[in-house]
Amino acid sequence: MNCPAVRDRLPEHALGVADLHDVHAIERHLAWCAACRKEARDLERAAATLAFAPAPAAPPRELEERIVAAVRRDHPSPPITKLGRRRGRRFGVVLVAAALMIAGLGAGAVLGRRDAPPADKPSTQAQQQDSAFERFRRIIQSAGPDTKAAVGLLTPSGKVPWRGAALVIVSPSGDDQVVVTVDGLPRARGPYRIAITDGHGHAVPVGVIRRLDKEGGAMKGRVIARDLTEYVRVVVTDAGGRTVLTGVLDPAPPTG
Amino acid sequence: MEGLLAGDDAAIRALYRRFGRPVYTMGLRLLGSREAAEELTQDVFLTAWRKAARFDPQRGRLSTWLMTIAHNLAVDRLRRDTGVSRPHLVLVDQVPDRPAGDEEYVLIERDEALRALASLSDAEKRLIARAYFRGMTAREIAEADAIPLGTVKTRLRSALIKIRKSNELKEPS
Repeated sequence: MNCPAVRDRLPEHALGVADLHDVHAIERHLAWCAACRKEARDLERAAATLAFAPAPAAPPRELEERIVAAVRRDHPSPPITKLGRRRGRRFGVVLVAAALMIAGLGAGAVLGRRDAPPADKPSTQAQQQDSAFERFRRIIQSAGPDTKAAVGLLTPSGKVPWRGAALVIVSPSGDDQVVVTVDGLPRARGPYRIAITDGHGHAVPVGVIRRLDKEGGAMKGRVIARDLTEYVRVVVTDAGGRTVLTGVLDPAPPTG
Repeated sequence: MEGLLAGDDAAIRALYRRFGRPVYTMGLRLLGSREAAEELTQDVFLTAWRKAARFDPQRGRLSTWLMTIAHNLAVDRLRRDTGVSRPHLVLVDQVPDRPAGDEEYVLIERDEALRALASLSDAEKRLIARAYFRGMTAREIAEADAIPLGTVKTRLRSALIKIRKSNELKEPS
């Protein structure tokens, strides 16, 4: 779909009534066309104004408690593929850790450091990060006292809205585990390959991202039968072998 | 928002107290029953919690982000539930007399919304209401009103541009 065709459909897209087939094509276009993306954001913002137009109606008082309880019960569990059921308990650890990354540590606390203005809310950021690391520490601790973990941000080399986070769990008694999340990647440049490398030119493949969600996001996890202690850099490359995201892993806070 | 990212109860409550009422109102207007509005409200805040990491303040306001989630979920449900009764649309109604706390914020937003709507022609208002509050596509509106599809699209665009300009006037940036 070209720019005129997209712009013709943007009002319906902003109003949430575009044809589903069109929505996918529009969002693919918006992923790479900055001019149309700006137009779309402006129209979406205008449409969102309408949400406040109806006369306010009061929800029942107990709805707040129901919602807080529902959020507490909720455990986001984005799919990790090809890890296998027989890895049972360890798979669960990865899943929980990965969910934590998505919900609180990776894209929240860690990516939040980049998103939030650095100077105006230092205490809030620090509290947020402390809170996220504390939760993360408890999860890692639950996997065993000798389990170590490293986390890192994945960033692009240019000014593009791509980002990601990586988590490596190193266990002295079993397979190590890697979870990588990405966000904002353009579908047109996929499939994307993820590898983790050491300082001596050795690389271990983590996986291939063939499908992105509509916001260019995906998560990939893998159990790897080797010690990943020395593997400290994660690299995501596009179909042409060009690096789109990279980052260095830092040790997470001690689990003891 | 930081608290929401950490799954903090207080942050979820704060978000709900600020936006619970407009989200519920939207549910009531689009879906036509209290039960459906309550379900929608719960779904919206759960979705916001799950997607909190994707909120980017540089791309837009929190209210835009949250109400877009609410509207998309409501329209999806409206279009899925074929038996849903289409509510009678009331854009302007009696405003509660004594707002307090975060309700004031909602009333300010409402005031801005009404001012933006006032900048539209009657034809534009009608089309916007049909699309946004009834989930009708441009083609459905064109067929229902027996007007050319191109005219519907043009009016929807011009209406959104007027609303955008109205927003720009109120935001000194």
